Amino acid sequence: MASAGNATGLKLTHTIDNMIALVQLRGHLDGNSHIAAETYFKMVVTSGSTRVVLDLAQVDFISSAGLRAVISLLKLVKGNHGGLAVCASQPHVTQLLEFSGLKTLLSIAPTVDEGRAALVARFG
Amino acid sequence: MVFTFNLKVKVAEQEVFEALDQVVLCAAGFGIDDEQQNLLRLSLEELLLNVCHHSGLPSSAVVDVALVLRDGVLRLTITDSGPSFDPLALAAPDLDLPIEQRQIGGLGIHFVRSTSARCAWQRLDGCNVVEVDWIIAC
Repeated sequence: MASAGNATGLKLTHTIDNMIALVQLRGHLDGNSHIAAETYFKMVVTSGSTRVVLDLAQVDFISSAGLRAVISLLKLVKGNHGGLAVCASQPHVTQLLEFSGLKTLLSIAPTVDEGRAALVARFG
Repeated sequence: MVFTFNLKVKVAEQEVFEALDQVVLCAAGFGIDDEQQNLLRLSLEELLLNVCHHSGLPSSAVVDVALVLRDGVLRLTITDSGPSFDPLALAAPDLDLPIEQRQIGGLGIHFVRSTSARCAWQRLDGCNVVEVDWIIAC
Protein backbone atom coordinates (compact mmCIF):
# COMPACT_ATOMS: atom_id res chain seq x y z
CA MET A 1 0.00 0.00 0.00
CA ALA A 2 1.19 3.49 -0.87
CA SER A 3 -0.11 6.56 0.87
CA ALA A 4 0.19 10.31 1.09
CA GLY A 5 -1.02 12.77 3.67
CA ASN A 6 -0.68 16.51 3.37
CA ALA A 7 -1.36 19.79 5.09
CA THR A 8 -4.74 20.03 3.40
CA GLY A 9 -6.19 17.29 5.60
CA LEU A 10 -6.82 14.92 2.70
CA LYS A 11 -5.32 11.46 3.06
CA LEU A 12 -4.80 9.27 0.00
CA THR A 13 -3.83 5.60 -0.15
CA HIS A 14 -3.82 3.03 -2.88
CA THR A 15 -3.40 -0.70 -3.31
CA ILE A 16 -3.21 -2.76 -6.48
CA ASP A 17 -5.01 -6.07 -6.70
CA ASN A 18 -5.40 -8.14 -9.87
CA MET A 19 -4.47 -5.22 -12.15
CA ILE A 20 -7.00 -2.86 -10.54
CA ALA A 21 -5.86 0.04 -8.37
CA LEU A 22 -8.04 0.91 -5.40
CA VAL A 23 -7.51 4.56 -4.46
CA GLN A 24 -9.05 5.57 -1.15
CA LEU A 25 -9.52 9.14 0.03
CA ARG A 26 -10.33 10.45 3.49
CA GLY A 27 -11.24 14.05 4.32
CA HIS A 28 -12.20 17.03 2.17
CA LEU A 29 -11.62 16.94 -1.60
CA ASP A 30 -11.82 20.66 -2.26
CA GLY A 31 -9.96 23.69 -3.54
CA ASN A 32 -7.35 23.20 -0.85
CA SER A 33 -6.56 19.58 -1.68
CA HIS A 34 -7.41 19.01 -5.35
CA ILE A 35 -3.85 19.58 -6.60
CA ALA A 36 -2.50 16.99 -4.16
CA ALA A 37 -5.22 14.59 -5.34
CA GLU A 38 -4.51 15.22 -9.05
CA THR A 39 -0.79 14.66 -8.47
CA TYR A 40 -1.50 11.40 -6.64
CA PHE A 41 -3.92 10.18 -9.34
CA LYS A 42 -1.35 10.94 -12.03
CA MET A 43 1.26 8.98 -10.12
CA VAL A 44 -1.06 5.95 -9.89
CA VAL A 45 -1.89 5.96 -13.61
CA THR A 46 1.62 6.67 -14.86
CA SER A 47 2.81 3.77 -12.68
CA GLY A 48 0.78 1.51 -14.96
CA SER A 49 -2.68 1.30 -13.36
CA THR A 50 -5.32 2.25 -15.91
CA ARG A 51 -8.24 0.51 -14.21
CA VAL A 52 -9.04 2.44 -11.07
CA VAL A 53 -11.62 2.16 -8.33
CA LEU A 54 -11.88 5.53 -6.57
CA ASP A 55 -13.33 5.09 -3.08
CA LEU A 56 -14.96 8.32 -1.89
CA ALA A 57 -16.91 6.73 0.97
CA GLN A 58 -14.82 8.62 3.53
CA VAL A 59 -14.85 11.93 1.66
CA ASP A 60 -17.23 14.05 3.70
CA PHE A 61 -17.06 17.12 1.44
CA ILE A 62 -16.37 17.63 -2.24
CA SER A 63 -16.41 20.89 -4.23
CA SER A 64 -16.11 21.67 -7.93
CA ALA A 65 -12.33 21.76 -7.54
CA GLY A 66 -12.48 18.23 -6.12
CA LEU A 67 -14.63 17.08 -9.00
CA ARG A 68 -12.09 18.58 -11.40
CA ALA A 69 -9.58 16.13 -9.93
CA VAL A 70 -12.02 13.24 -10.55
CA ILE A 71 -12.61 14.42 -14.14
CA SER A 72 -8.83 14.67 -14.67
CA LEU A 73 -8.46 11.09 -13.47
CA LEU A 74 -11.27 9.96 -15.77
CA LYS A 75 -9.63 11.65 -18.76
CA LEU A 76 -6.30 10.11 -17.81
CA VAL A 77 -7.56 6.51 -17.59
CA LYS A 78 -9.72 6.85 -20.70
CA GLY A 79 -6.72 8.25 -22.58
CA ASN A 80 -4.86 5.07 -21.60
CA HIS A 81 -7.75 2.77 -22.68
CA GLY A 82 -8.66 2.10 -19.06
CA GLY A 83 -11.69 2.66 -16.87
CA LEU A 84 -12.79 4.33 -13.65
CA ALA A 85 -15.38 3.26 -11.09
CA VAL A 86 -16.31 5.62 -8.27
CA CYS A 87 -17.66 4.37 -4.96
CA ALA A 88 -19.68 6.99 -3.19
CA SER A 89 -22.29 6.66 -0.53
CA GLN A 90 -22.40 10.07 1.16
CA PRO A 91 -25.43 12.06 -0.06
CA HIS A 92 -23.47 15.29 -0.65
CA VAL A 93 -20.96 13.50 -2.88
CA THR A 94 -23.53 11.52 -4.87
CA GLN A 95 -25.63 14.67 -5.35
CA LEU A 96 -22.70 16.57 -6.88
CA LEU A 97 -21.72 13.61 -9.09
CA GLU A 98 -25.27 13.77 -10.42
CA PHE A 99 -25.29 17.56 -10.90
CA SER A 100 -21.94 17.35 -12.73
CA GLY A 101 -23.26 14.87 -15.30
CA LEU A 102 -20.56 12.35 -14.38
CA LYS A 103 -23.05 9.59 -13.65
CA THR A 104 -23.31 8.87 -17.36
CA LEU A 105 -19.55 8.86 -17.93
CA LEU A 106 -18.31 6.50 -15.23
CA SER A 107 -19.46 3.58 -13.12
CA ILE A 108 -20.82 4.68 -9.76
CA ALA A 109 -21.08 1.86 -7.27
CA PRO A 110 -22.20 1.84 -3.65
CA THR A 111 -19.29 -0.40 -2.54
CA VAL A 112 -15.68 -1.08 -3.50
CA ASP A 113 -16.50 -4.69 -4.38
CA GLU A 114 -19.23 -3.59 -6.77
CA GLY A 115 -16.95 -0.97 -8.30
CA ARG A 116 -14.28 -3.60 -8.85
CA ALA A 117 -16.87 -6.00 -10.32
CA ALA A 118 -18.02 -3.28 -12.76
CA LEU A 119 -14.46 -2.87 -14.06
CA VAL A 120 -13.90 -6.63 -14.31
CA ALA A 121 -17.18 -7.02 -16.22
CA ARG A 122 -16.11 -4.31 -18.66
CA PHE A 123 -12.44 -5.13 -19.11
CA GLY A 124 -12.15 -8.74 -18.04
CA MET B 1 -35.22 34.75 16.22
CA VAL B 2 -32.56 36.09 13.85
CA PHE B 3 -29.00 34.74 13.79
CA THR B 4 -26.26 36.81 12.13
CA PHE B 5 -22.55 36.36 11.57
CA ASN B 6 -20.13 38.69 9.77
CA LEU B 7 -16.56 38.07 8.74
CA LYS B 8 -13.93 39.95 6.76
CA VAL B 9 -11.73 37.70 4.60
CA LYS B 10 -8.57 38.72 2.77
CA VAL B 11 -8.38 37.83 -0.93
CA ALA B 12 -5.89 35.01 -0.36
CA GLU B 13 -6.51 31.28 -0.68
CA GLN B 14 -5.28 30.28 2.77
CA GLU B 15 -7.48 32.96 4.36
CA VAL B 16 -10.41 31.61 2.37
CA PHE B 17 -10.00 28.07 3.70
CA GLU B 18 -9.75 29.33 7.27
CA ALA B 19 -12.87 31.43 6.69
CA LEU B 20 -14.78 28.40 5.36
CA ASP B 21 -14.22 26.57 8.62
CA GLN B 22 -15.28 29.60 10.67
CA VAL B 23 -18.48 30.21 8.70
CA VAL B 24 -19.49 26.55 8.70
CA LEU B 25 -18.81 26.30 12.43
CA CYS B 26 -21.02 29.34 12.91
CA ALA B 27 -23.76 27.74 10.81
CA ALA B 28 -23.58 24.67 13.03
CA GLY B 29 -24.08 27.03 15.96
CA PHE B 30 -27.23 28.33 14.23
CA GLY B 31 -28.50 24.72 14.26
CA ILE B 32 -27.90 24.10 10.55
CA ASP B 33 -27.55 20.37 9.81
CA ASP B 34 -24.53 18.66 8.23
CA GLU B 35 -26.06 18.40 4.74
CA GLN B 36 -26.89 22.10 4.64
CA GLN B 37 -23.45 22.96 6.08
CA ASN B 38 -21.90 21.19 3.08
CA LEU B 39 -24.03 23.20 0.63
CA LEU B 40 -23.02 26.40 2.41
CA ARG B 41 -19.33 25.42 2.29
CA LEU B 42 -19.67 24.54 -1.39
CA SER B 43 -21.10 27.93 -2.42
CA LEU B 44 -18.79 29.87 -0.14
CA GLU B 45 -15.67 28.14 -1.53
CA GLU B 46 -16.78 28.70 -5.12
CA LEU B 47 -17.61 32.36 -4.68
CA LEU B 48 -14.62 33.32 -2.53
CA LEU B 49 -12.08 31.48 -4.72
CA ASN B 50 -13.70 33.14 -7.72
CA VAL B 51 -12.87 36.52 -6.20
CA CYS B 52 -9.32 35.35 -5.36
CA HIS B 53 -8.64 34.08 -8.89
CA HIS B 54 -10.53 36.48 -11.13
CA SER B 55 -11.24 39.83 -9.47
CA GLY B 56 -7.75 41.26 -9.86
CA LEU B 57 -7.90 42.50 -6.27
CA PRO B 58 -4.65 42.38 -4.28
CA SER B 59 -4.33 39.79 -1.51
CA SER B 60 -4.53 42.62 1.01
CA ALA B 61 -8.08 43.48 -0.15
CA VAL B 62 -10.96 42.32 1.98
CA VAL B 63 -14.23 40.55 1.12
CA ASP B 64 -17.21 40.87 3.45
CA VAL B 65 -19.04 37.65 4.27
CA ALA B 66 -22.39 37.75 6.03
CA LEU B 67 -24.53 34.82 7.12
CA VAL B 68 -28.09 35.43 8.33
CA LEU B 69 -30.74 32.93 9.40
CA ARG B 70 -34.17 34.54 9.50
CA ASP B 71 -37.68 33.10 9.09
CA GLY B 72 -36.42 29.75 7.83
CA VAL B 73 -34.11 31.26 5.19
CA LEU B 74 -30.33 31.02 5.44
CA ARG B 75 -28.75 33.83 3.40
CA LEU B 76 -25.07 34.08 2.49
CA THR B 77 -23.97 37.51 1.23
CA ILE B 78 -20.53 38.11 -0.25
CA THR B 79 -19.42 41.66 -1.05
CA ASP B 80 -16.23 42.56 -2.90
CA SER B 81 -14.90 45.83 -4.28
CA GLY B 82 -13.49 44.40 -7.51
CA PRO B 83 -14.49 45.45 -11.03
CA SER B 84 -18.13 44.89 -11.91
CA PHE B 85 -18.62 41.18 -12.60
CA ASP B 86 -21.67 38.92 -12.33
CA PRO B 87 -20.40 35.36 -11.74
CA LEU B 88 -23.95 34.02 -11.88
CA ALA B 89 -24.26 35.12 -15.51
CA LEU B 90 -21.70 32.51 -16.61
CA ALA B 91 -23.16 30.02 -19.07
CA ALA B 92 -24.05 26.61 -17.69
CA PRO B 93 -21.56 23.87 -18.66
CA ASP B 94 -22.63 21.35 -21.29
CA LEU B 95 -23.00 18.20 -19.20
CA ASP B 96 -23.85 16.01 -22.18
CA LEU B 97 -20.46 16.22 -23.88
CA PRO B 98 -18.30 13.07 -24.01
CA ILE B 99 -15.40 13.05 -21.56
CA GLU B 100 -12.85 13.87 -24.27
CA GLN B 101 -14.62 17.19 -24.91
CA ARG B 102 -15.60 18.04 -21.34
CA GLN B 103 -14.02 21.15 -19.88
CA ILE B 104 -12.17 20.52 -16.63
CA GLY B 105 -13.70 23.61 -14.99
CA GLY B 106 -16.99 25.48 -15.11
CA LEU B 107 -18.91 23.45 -12.55
CA GLY B 108 -18.58 25.77 -9.55
CA ILE B 109 -21.21 28.39 -10.36
CA HIS B 110 -23.42 25.64 -11.79
CA PHE B 111 -23.35 24.03 -8.32
CA VAL B 112 -24.19 27.34 -6.60
CA ARG B 113 -27.23 27.73 -8.84
CA SER B 114 -28.26 24.06 -8.61
CA THR B 115 -28.04 23.66 -4.85
CA SER B 116 -29.62 26.92 -3.67
CA ALA B 117 -33.20 28.16 -3.54
CA ARG B 118 -32.21 31.56 -4.94
CA CYS B 119 -29.02 33.34 -5.95
CA ALA B 120 -28.60 36.88 -7.20
CA TRP B 121 -25.93 39.44 -8.05
CA GLN B 122 -26.12 43.21 -7.99
CA ARG B 123 -23.71 46.09 -8.33
CA LEU B 124 -24.21 48.27 -5.29
CA ASP B 125 -22.15 51.28 -4.18
CA GLY B 126 -19.19 50.22 -6.31
CA CYS B 127 -19.22 46.64 -5.04
CA ASN B 128 -20.27 43.22 -6.33
CA VAL B 129 -22.88 41.78 -3.98
CA VAL B 130 -23.82 38.10 -4.36
CA GLU B 131 -26.63 36.62 -2.30
CA VAL B 132 -27.36 32.90 -1.99
CA ASP B 133 -30.44 31.62 -0.13
CA TRP B 134 -31.42 28.22 1.15
CA ILE B 135 -34.71 27.22 2.71
CA ILE B 136 -34.06 25.62 6.07
CA ALA B 137 -36.42 22.91 7.26
CA CYS B 138 -37.60 23.79 10.76
